[in-house]
Amino acid sequence: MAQVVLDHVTKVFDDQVMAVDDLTLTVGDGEFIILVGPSGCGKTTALRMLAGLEKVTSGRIAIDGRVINDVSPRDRDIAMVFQNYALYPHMTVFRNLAFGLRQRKVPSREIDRRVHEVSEILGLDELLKRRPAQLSGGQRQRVAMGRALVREPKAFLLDEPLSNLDAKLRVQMRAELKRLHQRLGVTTIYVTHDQVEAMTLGDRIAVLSGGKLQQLGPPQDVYDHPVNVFVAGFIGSPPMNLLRANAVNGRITAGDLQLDIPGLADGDVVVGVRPEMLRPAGDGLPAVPFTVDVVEPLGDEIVVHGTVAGRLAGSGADDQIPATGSGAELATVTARFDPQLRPTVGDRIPLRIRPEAVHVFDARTGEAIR
Amino acid sequence: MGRLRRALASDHVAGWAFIGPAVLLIGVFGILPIVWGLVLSFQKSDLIDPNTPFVGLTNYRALAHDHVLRIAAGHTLVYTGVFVPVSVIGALFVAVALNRKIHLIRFYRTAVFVPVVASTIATSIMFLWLFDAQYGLANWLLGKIGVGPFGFFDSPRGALYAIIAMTVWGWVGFDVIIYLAALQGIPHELVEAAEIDGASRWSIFRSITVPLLGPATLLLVVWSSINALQLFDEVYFVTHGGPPPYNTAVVVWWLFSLAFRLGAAGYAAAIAYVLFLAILVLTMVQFWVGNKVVHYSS
Ligand SMILES: Nc1ncnc2c1ncn2[C@@H]1O[C@H](COP(=O)(O)OP(=O)(O)O)[C@@H](O)[C@H]1O
Ligand SMILES: [Mg+2]
Repeated sequence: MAQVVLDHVTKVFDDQVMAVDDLTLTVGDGEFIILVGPSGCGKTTALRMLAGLEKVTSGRIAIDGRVINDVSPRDRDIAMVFQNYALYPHMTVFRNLAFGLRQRKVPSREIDRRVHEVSEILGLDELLKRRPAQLSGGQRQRVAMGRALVREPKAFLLDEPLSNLDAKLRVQMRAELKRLHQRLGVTTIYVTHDQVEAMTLGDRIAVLSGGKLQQLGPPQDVYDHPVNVFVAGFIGSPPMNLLRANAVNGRITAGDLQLDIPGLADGDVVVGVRPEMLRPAGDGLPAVPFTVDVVEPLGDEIVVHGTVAGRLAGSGADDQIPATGSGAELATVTARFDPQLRPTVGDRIPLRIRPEAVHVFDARTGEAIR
Repeated sequence: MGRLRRALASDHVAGWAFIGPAVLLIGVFGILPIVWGLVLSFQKSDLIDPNTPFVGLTNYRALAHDHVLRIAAGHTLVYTGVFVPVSVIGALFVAVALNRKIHLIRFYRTAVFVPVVASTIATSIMFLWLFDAQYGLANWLLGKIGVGPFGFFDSPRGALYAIIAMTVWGWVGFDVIIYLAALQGIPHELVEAAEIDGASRWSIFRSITVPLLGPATLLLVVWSSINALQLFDEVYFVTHGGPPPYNTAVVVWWLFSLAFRLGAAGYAAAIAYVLFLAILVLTMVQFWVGNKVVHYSS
């Protein structure tokens, strides 16, 4: 177990592709940290540099204070779980698990002991004689985990380890991963594009976009206080509603929504409201009219897509569907309602928005103002 | 009329039209000689006299008393036993060396393959010069480091090994190409996973690369063995089975001499049949053993 430091690490491929841009990050001993971001944002590259599979263009990587930029992968004592598991296809599960220990000349009794210990933790006892081709996706995933665990490495690197599993297994393995980390306390750096995994698994999450670190912090902090439009749009499911707006004399206007923020400079801004913060208004309160388009009952809640007056703002985190409407400008927004409410398509519901629930971003820089 | 048209339009006709030429070629040049050879092996024939009486198993009984055949079979086994491992293992190392992104890599790969497409005669003439006992480049170079001169093709004990060297050189390129293609099929992630697991280069080669090349290796061993047991061209062109009396005599060279020089075509056909069966059995054994050892990724 160890502390892992990335210090102004940059990776440029072929003199032109900036895959990781000046990434600085300290992963504490025993911490579970998540690198999250959309596809192509440099997560895998960052992980591969940590593993030593990719040379850093500039910056330093250190483990427990020792700079390892020029240390080969085999001498870093780090374990990695690949997205496609990369199990040795010609070896049994036992030999897959034992391979790393054999390479390190661990005595065979000790190998036996550790392989059996790990296979017990992961429920692989019955599978030790099988080859990877004879395993299900979930079992392969466990073997890949086991191969990393059995080495008792300084740190774990996981590259989207759950992305090849079906939805149910993914939820199950997610919990199991968390349990495993709580039990073993190995420093873990976990890469995913799935913000649910990021929220649920990490002690802290690092949101990346375009190779750059956008925000670093505990999941709830990042969720509650996104530092820019990108993070606001990326973290949270369904994502935060983002609308273009205008600030004049401390008053923000976005369609029918009006909001007073004393001291706010005049100019274009983006306002953001999380879906769960949109509630049907009681009588007499100021409200924003909302027309229901699509209703998605989830059992414990209802996700409702509909339109309000206004213009959407892109976060760069995903593709947003512009509202189909004629004449007046409409923006698609998403709300999460209580299942008792039973809205139907075409309903016009007045929405109440509490001023404290509204995030405000600078429209030009995307930075959070409030 | 309607019936004929319907028959012509059916899939059967189209099917036979497509495979017809191939069936004809294989029939005339493949099946027919096999059958004719079998018939011939029970006859007395010199390929000239139209009178070819059946002699039963006489030709097959004669095999046991053929002193030259015994020598030739011994040489064939030695040749196969050395040629197959040397060419296959040699190709493995060359292919691994060529399986990387280095300057001029395409040139090197082509260079390795050129001997395969060069004609045996050209290769033979080149090696006759190279291995000439007096004026050859090989002896000149060996002289520089104070060994030799060697007789090579003129040496009773060395000639067979000179043939081996020449045929390995001529064939290794084929094996290299097969291995290069197979190497492309090994996911790079496996090598990376092994590196992270702490494996050295040699260990990765031994524990990952070689096992995953198993199917290619099995194919090459079977294929090279089949070829090696039928060695003929090089012996015919370069040493004529010599130095005398029979220092590079091999089975196919001997049966050729019997059939076309010594007027014993029926007996030669019997040898050919035994060789054919021997190759068949060996190939089956190789596949049987190989399939137990080799891992196929499905
Ligand atoms: N070997 C490579 N050569 C050139 N460009 C690469 C290479 N690997 C990754 N990239 C580029 O670097 C960027 C980041 O890639 P990657 O780290 O794989 O992203 P992620 O894992 O977040 O999806 C992408 O634009 C990708 O095309
Ligand atoms: Mg990736």
